[in-house]
Amino acid sequence: MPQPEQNNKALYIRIAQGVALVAGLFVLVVSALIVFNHLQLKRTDPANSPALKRLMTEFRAQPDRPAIREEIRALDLLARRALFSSHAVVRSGAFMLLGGVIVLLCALQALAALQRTAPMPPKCEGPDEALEMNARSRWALAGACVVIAAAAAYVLVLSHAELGPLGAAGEGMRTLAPATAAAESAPASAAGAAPAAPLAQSVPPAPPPPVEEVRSNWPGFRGPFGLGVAGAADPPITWDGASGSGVLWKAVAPRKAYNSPIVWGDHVYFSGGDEKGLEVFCLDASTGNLLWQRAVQPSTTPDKLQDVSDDTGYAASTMATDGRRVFAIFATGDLACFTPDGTQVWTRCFGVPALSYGYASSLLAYQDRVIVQFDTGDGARLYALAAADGTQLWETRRDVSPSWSSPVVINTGARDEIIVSADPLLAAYSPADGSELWKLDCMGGEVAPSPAYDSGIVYAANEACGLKAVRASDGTLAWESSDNIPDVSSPVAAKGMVIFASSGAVISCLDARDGTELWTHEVDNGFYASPVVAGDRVYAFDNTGVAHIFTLDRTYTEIGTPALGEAVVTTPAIAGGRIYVRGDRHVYCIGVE
Amino acid sequence: MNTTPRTHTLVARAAALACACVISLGATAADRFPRPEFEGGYAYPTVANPHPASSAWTYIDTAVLLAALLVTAHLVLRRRSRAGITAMTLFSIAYFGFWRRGCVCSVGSVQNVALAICDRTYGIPFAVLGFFLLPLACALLFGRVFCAAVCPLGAVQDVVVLRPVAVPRWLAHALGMLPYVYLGIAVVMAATGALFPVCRFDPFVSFFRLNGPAGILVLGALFIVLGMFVGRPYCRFACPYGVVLGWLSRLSKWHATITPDECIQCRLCENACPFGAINKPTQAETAEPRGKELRRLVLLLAALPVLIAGGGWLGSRAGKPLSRAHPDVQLALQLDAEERGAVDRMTLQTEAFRATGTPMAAAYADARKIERQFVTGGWFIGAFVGLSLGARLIGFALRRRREDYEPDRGTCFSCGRCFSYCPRERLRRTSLTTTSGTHAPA
Repeated sequence: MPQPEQNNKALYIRIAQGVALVAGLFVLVVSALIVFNHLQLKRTDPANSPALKRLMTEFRAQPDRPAIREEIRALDLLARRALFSSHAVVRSGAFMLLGGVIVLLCALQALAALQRTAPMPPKCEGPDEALEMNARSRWALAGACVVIAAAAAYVLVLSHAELGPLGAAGEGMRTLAPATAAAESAPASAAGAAPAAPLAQSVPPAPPPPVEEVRSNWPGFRGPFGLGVAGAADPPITWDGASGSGVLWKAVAPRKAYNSPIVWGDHVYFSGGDEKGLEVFCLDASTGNLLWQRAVQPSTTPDKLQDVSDDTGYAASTMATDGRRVFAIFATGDLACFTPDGTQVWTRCFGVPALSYGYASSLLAYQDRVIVQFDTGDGARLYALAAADGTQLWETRRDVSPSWSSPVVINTGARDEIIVSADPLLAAYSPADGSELWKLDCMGGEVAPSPAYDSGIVYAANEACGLKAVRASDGTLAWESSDNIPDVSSPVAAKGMVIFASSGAVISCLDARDGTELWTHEVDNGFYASPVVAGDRVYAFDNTGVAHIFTLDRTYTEIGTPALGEAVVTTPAIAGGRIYVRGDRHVYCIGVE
Repeated sequence: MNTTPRTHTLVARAAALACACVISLGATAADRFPRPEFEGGYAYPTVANPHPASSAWTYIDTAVLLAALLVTAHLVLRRRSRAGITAMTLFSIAYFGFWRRGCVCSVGSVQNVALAICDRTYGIPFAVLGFFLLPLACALLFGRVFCAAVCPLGAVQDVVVLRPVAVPRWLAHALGMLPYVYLGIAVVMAATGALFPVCRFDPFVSFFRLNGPAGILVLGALFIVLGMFVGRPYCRFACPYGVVLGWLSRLSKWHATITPDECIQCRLCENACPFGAINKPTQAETAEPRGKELRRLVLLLAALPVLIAGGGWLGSRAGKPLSRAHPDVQLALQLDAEERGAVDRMTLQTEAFRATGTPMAAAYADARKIERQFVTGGWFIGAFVGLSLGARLIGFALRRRREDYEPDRGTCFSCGRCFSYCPRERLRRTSLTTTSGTHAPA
């Protein structure tokens, strides 16, 4: 005869079974309804109703028929109602489903608890069983190891079969339809995508020039390797811009800019830019005649650049050349490459630099590549592009603030180093792969002066942090100085001396060994142009165009102060015994017939 | 009598499976409706800008987590109350699951920590740090009380355990390697900024939100249905956070015990754990010669560096393919495909990228840098998995001495199911009832 407890248990079990059954059926019905709703929604797809699309097409063709517009509105409203009511049904269904599942689970758990029997000890295992289990586990782990390895190998093989090297096809070679385009949409170039960079010429340039050839020219900002020291040269010491005495020729610089001229062979290059356009100019070095001028198509129009100040302009960066190619970069972040005869070879856009004042770092041509210092508010990078076709050879990210200084190349005897100065780092990079060779946290402020180098010591200056002398071998600080430091003009170093000219109209000379001040010389006007060394003389143009020429010596000995008669804030180029200097409106060639 | 309930149960289970699938189908329909193209005359409703979420919740969540951990530890270690633990389980599902919608989640916080370590620009939120550290601290003190009743993912699986079958130990050990692999991949993915895979592929958070990608909902449904017969499959064979909890739990100062005082070797608890986390006493004598055991141990110790190096090498090789999960790499690949002419249409991403004017070379360089990071990370993943595998193998080769039935501290979730199987526990409860004159706590 069954006990009352057993009867109760049987009753509870039946109740739990009943509840589970009802809940299960409820869940199934709700599920079926949601599935039906979902399928119906997919089938009708009110958001893409063919009738609505047809009406829209008709309306586009006949926009002056208000009846179609009203019909579209009515149909669209209907479609929306269908869609949102369907969503509401799904959401309500999900809640009902959740409730059903909770009841179902409770019933099932209750059922399991009611049907649970008292535990019984399992069959005893022999002493070998544990060993056997361990052995099986070991083999299972080994199997897992094989499976994981096989999975990794599978991923590897699969991906190798699908992927090739990135960027092998070059850049900007194709015109593609935008993703959002319908059949009638415009191609990418018209949709505001980045401008293409067509390879206009695929003829490879001659091999890079030897060092001697570089030294005999003025290939970039502050001459060979950017160090401000001319090769063997004996430039003139007297001229008068007003009367034309000593001036071989004078050419108009069509667009106002603050970049310095560069010289290679018979060609003088400079660039210009304003709100209306960007251009590159080439003059005949002998006559000053314009050989060619080329417009550079910017990726964004200059008038949209908000942060470019008047005293920086759109073409503050000095061009660079290796004699085979000529490179120019502008405040828009566009870099253009030409052959010496003015054929555009390639262009690259680095994006609009996020810089107050505007972009001002100059390019540096080094062997088969062009070096670009791009320290902007969106991140600082140093790039090396192949001179031949603009292919990016390497890119190095730098943890520095925006800067306006330019890279230089030095040779320590053991290796070549690219030296770059910015807040807070003075750093050296390998020209081969961009790897960081050394760095020193020593700079500060808005760095515009570029580094100088002589006899194993790098000199970097900025008014905010002083002048730092750093050993090029390991990047350690040798000494520092803090008086009369320039904020725009760059120092130059030669023959155991460091010379710099400040905006405060003071020319200073320090002993390169320990930074001892050898002499200072006050003048009437400050300097933006950097002093350059030619032979045993130093040329420093002040902002009014007066050249302060003095001997490269441990005492100040003035040679002359000829005036150009025009404001000068650019650094002169010295090549072939001549001085090429850009004034406010003209480019001058100073020399002897 | 036996047939009917089984039939009912089967119907109910089928319904549970169907409902999980249906939720997933419904979720895919929640797409955006395009704006109408009306001209003139139509006044668009004002765009509402909801207020940002209150930061107070971060503190409330952390405080609730801490309280839940301490209460659970008390219920496990002092009260030994399975009913209390179940109540906490339901609370966690309700609060951390449905109310807080499964986020913040300690399981996913591993990724935030990895990213915070590797990316100086990422500031880890206070609540995330709390959710990462508090369960670990509690594991070090009390064992895996977080898994017992606080983790909403574990809680959902715990309440669906109906008729668990014992997974063979060898299989459980083999599958137990998966969380290590998942942890390694998740850390590298998160550290490189590619994605948070633990969150992306969280199988249960979509249930808490009653919405989510169809694939994830189906995955969750599969885990739920599997969990009816295999106890906590996600916790045991997938959870990356469980790996770290397991390590710390092995070192825990206090840990749940099967018996409240002494083990009387009755063997009633031997199959009590649905998660296979009870270790039996070891045999005093084994049939295996000592010399053979030693040789195996030496061999495995020698193989450990090989496993680490081999795993690292294989991981580094797989790093590059893994980097394809990073959106920047995907962008570069798409750009490359467009430039090669492999596709004739831009994607939204490439169209937007091109419109910025950034040179494609920059995108390629970024992608290559990320690939290098993944190769380095691949070394880490591989070496980590190799080390874990080797350590486990060595663990099997070591002779251990155990006299009583004990929870495996690394894998025990402290759920308290085994308490009631112990006669000594029943005696304790009777004694408590007699002493206090009230009902036992569970």
